[in-house]
Amino acid sequence: MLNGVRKFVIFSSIGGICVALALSLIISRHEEPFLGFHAIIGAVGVLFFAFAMRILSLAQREGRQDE
Amino acid sequence: MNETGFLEFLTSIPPAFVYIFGASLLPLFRGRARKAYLVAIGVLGLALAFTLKPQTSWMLPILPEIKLTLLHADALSLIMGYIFTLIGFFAIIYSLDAVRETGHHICALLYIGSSLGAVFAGDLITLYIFWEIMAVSSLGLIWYEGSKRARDAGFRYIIFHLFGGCALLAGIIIHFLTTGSLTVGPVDELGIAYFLILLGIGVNTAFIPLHTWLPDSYPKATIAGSVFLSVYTTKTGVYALARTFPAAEAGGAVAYMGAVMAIYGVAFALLQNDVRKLLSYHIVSQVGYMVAGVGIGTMIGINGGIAHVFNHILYKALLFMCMGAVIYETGRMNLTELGGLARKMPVTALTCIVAAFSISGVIGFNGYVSKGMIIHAAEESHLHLIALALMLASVGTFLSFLKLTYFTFFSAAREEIQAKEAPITMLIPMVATAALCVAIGVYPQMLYRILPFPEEAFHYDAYSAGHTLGTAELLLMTAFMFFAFGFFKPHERITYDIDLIYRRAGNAFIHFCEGPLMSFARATESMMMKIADAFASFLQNSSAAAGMLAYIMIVLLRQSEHFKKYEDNLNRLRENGSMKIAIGTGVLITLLLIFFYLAIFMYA
Repeated sequence: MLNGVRKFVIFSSIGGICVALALSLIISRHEEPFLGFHAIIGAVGVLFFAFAMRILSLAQREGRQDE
Repeated sequence: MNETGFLEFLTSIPPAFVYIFGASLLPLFRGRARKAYLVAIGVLGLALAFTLKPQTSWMLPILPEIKLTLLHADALSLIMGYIFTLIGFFAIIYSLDAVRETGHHICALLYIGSSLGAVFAGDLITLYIFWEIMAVSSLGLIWYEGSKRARDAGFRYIIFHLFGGCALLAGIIIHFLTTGSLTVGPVDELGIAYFLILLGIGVNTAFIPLHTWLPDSYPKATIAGSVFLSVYTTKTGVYALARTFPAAEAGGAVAYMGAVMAIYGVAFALLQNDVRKLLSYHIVSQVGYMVAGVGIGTMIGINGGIAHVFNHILYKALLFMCMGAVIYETGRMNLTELGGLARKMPVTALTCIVAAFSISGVIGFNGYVSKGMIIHAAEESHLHLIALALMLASVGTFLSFLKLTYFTFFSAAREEIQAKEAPITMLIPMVATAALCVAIGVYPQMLYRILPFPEEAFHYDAYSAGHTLGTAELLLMTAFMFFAFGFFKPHERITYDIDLIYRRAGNAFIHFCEGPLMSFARATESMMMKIADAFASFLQNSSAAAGMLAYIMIVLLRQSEHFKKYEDNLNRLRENGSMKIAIGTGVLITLLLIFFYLAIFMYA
């Protein structure tokens, strides 16, 4: 179950992305390589770090960090 | 001295003196008087830094014709002085109730003082002296935590810093011998001095792979100690880098190192469960932005790097204050053990969100301004790979701080945690620092004014439509994916970094020392003892020694041509049955033998 904060952030960020893309289309399209460039960088970045965590997990072991 | 002269004298005193002399008098005070005294030192230091005028200097003659420049104020050192004294003041207030040991306060004051000494140093020797005081005094902030893990981490910390200090000193000496200059300025000539100075500064700046001391030691320091530590060491390193390597021959390499640090620090931060270790890895990452800015070397790049130093000190100190307050109240430091604290500690939660937004570069907060400046500088210099790496690091930073704030303050509440809001002496500096983060974000011109190249800074528009909308797209997408997919939940894991290699290499070295090296040493010692015993017994037995000597002499004499002729004559005489030696010759030979014997005996 999603708690309130998570729900709020998920829906408001979807709305925010749409607004930002619409504004980019109107006022600042020429300042980006293409429309939605930064949104794509955001998505690629999240996947990149999720993948990096998986790779780095190979050099870890379970246990408390303060041990 | 008239009144104006006295005022001028007062306003040219190095701020470092206040903290260093202040520390020496601290043991005289107890209880409330000590608290008042500490606050007074903070205020005085702040006042001195903010009244310093550019081009003020203070020299100390130590030898004929040799002077140490203890104070050299210009735009770059002044901005460092402002932020060091400002956050020093806040950190002192924060530590009033969190720290009881006088020694801890002394270490903190010495640490602030030596950092200020380093940034106001006018020559490399002064810089080096304060650099080393900084390393030793900061060690106290780790060791006062009192546990074995803190003690061990402190040893590793000081080994790294002594190594860096040695490299820096060697570089300074070679630089002086080659150029004859001790000025804290660009090191242009590529050579061994260049790389040694870069190595020495690189240790403090946490260059990869010299960074492991940072996430190892900062989380193990005292609560207040980690607030101080997060401010001074790495930023002094960035300052020294800006002084000595702005756009030098290796400028490109320094900028790329910054980009690597930014990504590397974030990737490891995301793995962390210990809140202060997460923050420590973010120091590596954020210092990467600063190093990139300085390494790009253009005016806007250096402005961006130094602006990021200023902003980062504010929000990173605030983050350590917030997490320190959480640990102080709950006794827990792992994300898996925390949750739902927003209701119990609302002020801490709010200030932590401000700091998290600032470090993530959310629009309207101070990090947004300086990060944008650095990325803009990279794009302007056609370093698109660096710009892309820094944008990716922004994504990772926001992910980390969504994780930190969400799992500390907003995830399911844990009923067993009995926490209340932090003491007022902790809250005051937290709120004041948070207010500054917002103020600089909303009105960045107040920061532009004190940057090394203010005119260039005023040409930069932080709130251009492209930058604002681009940042909004980037961060909103990151937030959406974080909450929608839940990739980044905290786990109880022991994470290994490059320090795993150091530890393995260290263990292998110790094993080598204890095994093969010790066996060789024992065998050599045994052989030497046998030789010594033989020699001693030889010298103690005089008749055997005389016989041996005579034998050696005879063998040597028999090899010579002259003796062979003499021996032939003797043999001929012996064959004729008439071998006779004069008495004088016999006495001479005996005397010679006795003389050689005594000579050898006396000499031995």
